[in-house]
Amino acid sequence: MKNIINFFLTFCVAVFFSAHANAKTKVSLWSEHSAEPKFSALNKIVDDFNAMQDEIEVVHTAYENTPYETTLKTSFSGGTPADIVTINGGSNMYQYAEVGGLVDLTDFVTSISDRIAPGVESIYTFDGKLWGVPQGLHIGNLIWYRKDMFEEMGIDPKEMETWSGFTGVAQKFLDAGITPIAFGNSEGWPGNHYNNHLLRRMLSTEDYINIGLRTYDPTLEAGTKFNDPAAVKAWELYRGLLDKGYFTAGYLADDYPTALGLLFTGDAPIFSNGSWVVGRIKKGAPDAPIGVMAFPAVEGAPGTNTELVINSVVLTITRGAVENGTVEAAKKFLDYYTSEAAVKDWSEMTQSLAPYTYDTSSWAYDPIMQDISNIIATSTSSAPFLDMLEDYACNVPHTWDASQGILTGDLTPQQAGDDHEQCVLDLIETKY
Amino acid sequence: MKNKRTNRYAHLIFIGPAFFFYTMFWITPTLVAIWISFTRWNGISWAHIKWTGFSNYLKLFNDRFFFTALQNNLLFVFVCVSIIFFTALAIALILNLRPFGWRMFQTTFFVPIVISSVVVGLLFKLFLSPTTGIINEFADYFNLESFKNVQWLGSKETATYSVMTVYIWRDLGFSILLFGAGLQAVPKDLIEAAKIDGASVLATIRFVTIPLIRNISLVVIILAVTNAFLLFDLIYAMTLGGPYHASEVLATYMYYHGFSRGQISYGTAIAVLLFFIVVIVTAIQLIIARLLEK
Repeated sequence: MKNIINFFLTFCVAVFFSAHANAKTKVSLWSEHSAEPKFSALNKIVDDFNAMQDEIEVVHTAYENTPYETTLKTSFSGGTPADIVTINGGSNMYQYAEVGGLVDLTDFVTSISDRIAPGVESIYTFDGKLWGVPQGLHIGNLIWYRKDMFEEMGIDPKEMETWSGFTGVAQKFLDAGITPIAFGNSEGWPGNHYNNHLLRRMLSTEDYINIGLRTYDPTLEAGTKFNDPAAVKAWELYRGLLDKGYFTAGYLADDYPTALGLLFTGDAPIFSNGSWVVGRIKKGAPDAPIGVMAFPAVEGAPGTNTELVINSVVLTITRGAVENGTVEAAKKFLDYYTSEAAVKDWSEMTQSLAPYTYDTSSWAYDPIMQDISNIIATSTSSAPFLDMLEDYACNVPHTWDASQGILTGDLTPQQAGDDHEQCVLDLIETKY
Repeated sequence: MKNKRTNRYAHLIFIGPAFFFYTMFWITPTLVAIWISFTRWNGISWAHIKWTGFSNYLKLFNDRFFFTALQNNLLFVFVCVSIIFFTALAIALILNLRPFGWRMFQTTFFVPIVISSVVVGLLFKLFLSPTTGIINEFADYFNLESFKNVQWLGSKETATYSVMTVYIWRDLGFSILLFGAGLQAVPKDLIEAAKIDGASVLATIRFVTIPLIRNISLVVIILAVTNAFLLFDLIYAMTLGGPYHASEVLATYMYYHGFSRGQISYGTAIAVLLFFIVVIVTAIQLIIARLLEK
C-alpha cells in the first residue's frame, strides 16, 4: 500500500513538473481589429508567431472599434489591461503613458529602429521615451477624384496641386452644373480633417507639431497660436468652400460613407480623405476610375504638398505585462511583429502602407496603393493628425465641433481660433 | 419559538441575493458616480484623480450647450409626450371600437416598437439625406423647390424637430398598446349602461372610459416622460447631437464629454444631474397621481 502511495505521489509530482516545464508563457493581446480583413491579418501573424517557437503563446482578443476605447479605459482603471494592446498613436497613447499605464520601450524600439521608417516617431514618442511600435500607416491629406469626369471636362488633375488651382477646378465643375466636392460632416471629423490639412499647409512642420503638442508638453513654444492669422486662415479657406457652393447639399447632414458614395456614383468628382478610402473603393466601387493625389499647397504658406499628415495604430506593452511577468515575452512578439514577414502579411492583407523600411516594390499591392506609395516616396516630411498631437479635451470641441460651427455660422474663423487658444491655455493651467 | 425566529428571517434568504446584486451593480456605481462628479479624472488611473468640489457643476452653469441639451429634453418631454399621449389615446379608442381592418392598423402601429432604435435612426437618416434620401427625390419629382436640398438633420432649425417626428412615430405604438390593454379592462356593462342612459359616444369616453383608465394613463405619462429625459439612441444614430450641438440632449451630451472628450468627471456630473431630474420629475408625477386618487 505504501509503495502504491509513493508511486502515485511521484507520478503526480512528475506530471506537475513536466506540465510546467512545457507550459508556454501566455501573452494576451487586445486589438480593435474585429472587422475583416484586419482581424484575419492579425490572427495570421499571431498564429505564425505561435507556430515558430515553443515558449510563448500569444492570445489575441479583438473588440469592436467603438467599445474598444471604453474597454481599454476600464481595464486600465481596474488594473487589468492585457499584456499588449493596440492604441491609436499620438494623444490617445500619451494619456496612457502619462499615467504610467505603459511600459517604456525606448531600449527595445531603439534596438530595432533601423526597421522603422523615419518621420513617424511622433506617433509613438512621448516625453522623450518610446512607447510602442507602429502598425500600418495611413496618409490623411489626400484628394480623390473621378478620372472620367476630369477627362470629360478636359481638366488636368495636376491643376489641383495648389489651393487656387483646386478651387479653380471646383469652379469649372460648378459652372458646368456639377457640385464639385463630395462632403458630409455630420460626424465632425471630415471637417476637422480639412482644417487639419489646411493648418499643415499654413504652418511649418515644427510649428504644426508644437501647436498641438503643447497640451502634453507645456514647455514647447508654439511659433503660431490658434488665433494667429495663419491658423485662422485655415478656417477661412475651409469656410470659403461652402460660401462658393462647392460642397454637396448634405454637407452637415451626410456622413463619410454617404459622401464617399457620391464620388463612387459620379455625382461629385472630388473627395478629400485619407488612404483608408482604398478599402472602401475595393469593397464599394472596385471598377470606378478613381485617382488620388496629395492635398494642395496654399500659395504663400510654408507647407508644400509633399508634406504629409499621417496616423497609425501603435502596439504597446502595458503595466499588466509587468504584473504578469510577461514583458520580455511580449517584446519577443513585437520583435516578430516588426519583422519583414509579419509587416508584409499585414500590409498585403489589409492593403495598408507599412511604416517600415522594407522594400515593398514586390508586395501584392493594389495599383491605387502604389499611387499612394509614390506620394510617400516623394514626401519631404510627415506629421501626425492634430488630434493625435493634442489633448482631446481641446481638440474635439475646437476642431471637430468647430468644423460644424464654422459651417452653421455659429462661429467665425477668428472666434474658432480664439476659443481654441483659450482652451489650450486653460488646459495647460489646470493640468500642470 | 425557533420556527418563529426562522420565519422572521426567512425572507432574507430570498431577498438577499437580489439585494446584493442591486447594491453592487446599481447603488454602488451610483454613489461612485456622484463622487466622481466632484473630481477631475481621465478615466484611466485612480491615482490621478483630484477632488475639485463643485467645479464641474459650476462649469455646467456656464456651458451653453448644456442648456441647449436641457432645453431639447424639455421640448421632447412637453411636445412629444403631449402628442404621443393624446394621439395614442385617440387611436386606441378608435381601435377599441374594432373598425374594419383594425388588426392591420394595430400591427402597423406596433411595428416600430420591435425595430431597434438605432436601425430606425439610421433608416431615417438615409431617408432624410438631401443627397441620397427619398424626400429629396420626392421634392425633385414634384418640383417642390423649397423642399429640395433641405438638410433636415444638418440644419440647426430642423434637426431637433426631425428627430422628434421620428421619436413620436417610434414611441406611439407602445402607448397605443398600453391604452389598448387598459381599454380592454373597462367593464362592458358600464359602457352599455351609459348608452342606455342616453350618453353620447364622447360623453361616454369623457365620463366613463377615461376615468377608468386613469392608472394606465399615468403609466403612459411616466414612461413617456422618463423615456424622453433618457433619450439617447435615436439622437446618437441620427445627428450625434449636431449640427454643432443643436440637437443635443442631456444623455448624448453626457456621452460626448465622457467618451469623445475624455472628460469623465464632467460627463458624470451631467449624468448625476440627469438622474436627479428624472427622480424629481417621477416623484412629482407620483404625488400628483396620489392626489388625484384621493
